[in-house]
Amino acid sequence: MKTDYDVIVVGAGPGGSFAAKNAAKGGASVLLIDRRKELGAPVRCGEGLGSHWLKELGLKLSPKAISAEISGSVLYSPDMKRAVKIQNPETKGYVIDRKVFDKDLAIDAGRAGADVIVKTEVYDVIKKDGKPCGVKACSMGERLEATCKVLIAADGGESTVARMAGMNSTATLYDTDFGIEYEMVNVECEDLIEIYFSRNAAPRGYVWVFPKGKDVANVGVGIGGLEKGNAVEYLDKFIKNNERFKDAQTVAIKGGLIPVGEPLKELVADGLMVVGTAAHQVDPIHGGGMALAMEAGGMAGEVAAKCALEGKTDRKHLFEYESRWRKRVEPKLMRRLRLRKVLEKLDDGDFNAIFKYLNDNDIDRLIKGDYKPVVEKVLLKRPQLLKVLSALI
Amino acid sequence: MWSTMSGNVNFLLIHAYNSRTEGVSLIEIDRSRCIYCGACVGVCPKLALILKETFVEYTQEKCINCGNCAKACPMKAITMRK
Repeated sequence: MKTDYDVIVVGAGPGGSFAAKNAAKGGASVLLIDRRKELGAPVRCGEGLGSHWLKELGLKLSPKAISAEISGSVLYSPDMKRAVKIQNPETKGYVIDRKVFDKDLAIDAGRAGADVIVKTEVYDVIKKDGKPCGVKACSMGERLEATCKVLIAADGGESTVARMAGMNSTATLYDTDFGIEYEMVNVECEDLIEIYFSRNAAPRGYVWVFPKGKDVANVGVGIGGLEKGNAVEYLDKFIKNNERFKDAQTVAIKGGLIPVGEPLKELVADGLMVVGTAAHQVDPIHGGGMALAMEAGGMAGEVAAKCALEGKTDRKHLFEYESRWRKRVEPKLMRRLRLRKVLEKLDDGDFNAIFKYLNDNDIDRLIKGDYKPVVEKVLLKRPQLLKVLSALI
Repeated sequence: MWSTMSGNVNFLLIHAYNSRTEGVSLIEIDRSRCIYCGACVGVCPKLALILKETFVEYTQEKCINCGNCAKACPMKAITMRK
């Protein structure tokens, strides 16, 4: 087996497979490694994907990867007195089947020319003068050592590979949400993503119901890392107290961590790139990371191939990925991080008031990042929030 | 000795290692609750926890007893020993 590659990608999730595909298309020899025997499993995701991403990422969903089509979302106030429906062409999307979707992406990477190996665990990063230049892995009871010019760490929230390579990517409890989700049958739902805000039901997070076709749905909750208790307790309580789930049967349990703070301070080092949830490239408001990972993976793959083929893989040259990403994606995320940090200071009373005073358009504006007119409107009715909300203007 | 081996290459010894350190490990992972999501691994500042395909491997020598993993675990599968 070949053991000398231009680019090695660890983690065949959406970000890693995109990186591997793009690096292979760029002419580099690529190895894509994953620990699991079956890509996509265990699922650690709400599985929602906005349809605008398909165009932006040049992505085609196979019919089997689509569980349900979504027309928009509905947000509920803590007192459940108000539901805001947001339905427009931009809120269309899909709830996908990650087990099919992830495998499809790895297949794309394989077709583009990348070598793919599964059930292979990277347990160490080989370094030369402090620069990562390969990985040690265990595959089918055998040791495998492969060298590379660029190592792309795309191993998800646990982010072990980047840390073994010397980058500090440990998630902090404050800037991380922890989620648990049951896939349930006998849950009636429309083609809308349902979001419930309530400090009682989900402190510093929210409860979600993502329809997965017919009477199946992903019902989940995410809570802030510093909140009391564990996510599963909140989810069990929400389901128990809700008449709607009395006949519901759980057919799968999914969970994981969701970095909702800033992206890593450094996305590249000499010979190393970090992509996706491993780099904390996650939307701080809704906690979605799939599309962002693919976007970043695409950029990283292109740059990695170019640099590897030119033989210049120091931090300075790989930095092109980081600068492109920071220019194109980061400002949007930082804006939303500001909103998250404001929302986490509000209590249920504040939320109820905000929902009461805002119409559907205002909420849509908030989501799109146009805070000023909305904040002004809220302050007129609830001036005591001035101190908290001023951070948004 | 066992720990350094299992922490690195000798995956076959993991079970033996776990049973040998029973009683001195600072955390307890309830495998009947664990869904191997890796949340504990992501917040472990010392890489004392490593995600395997169907379980989490714990190396007591690296553990600093910070409790992050127990707070993080969405399934409430981890408890601190004291």
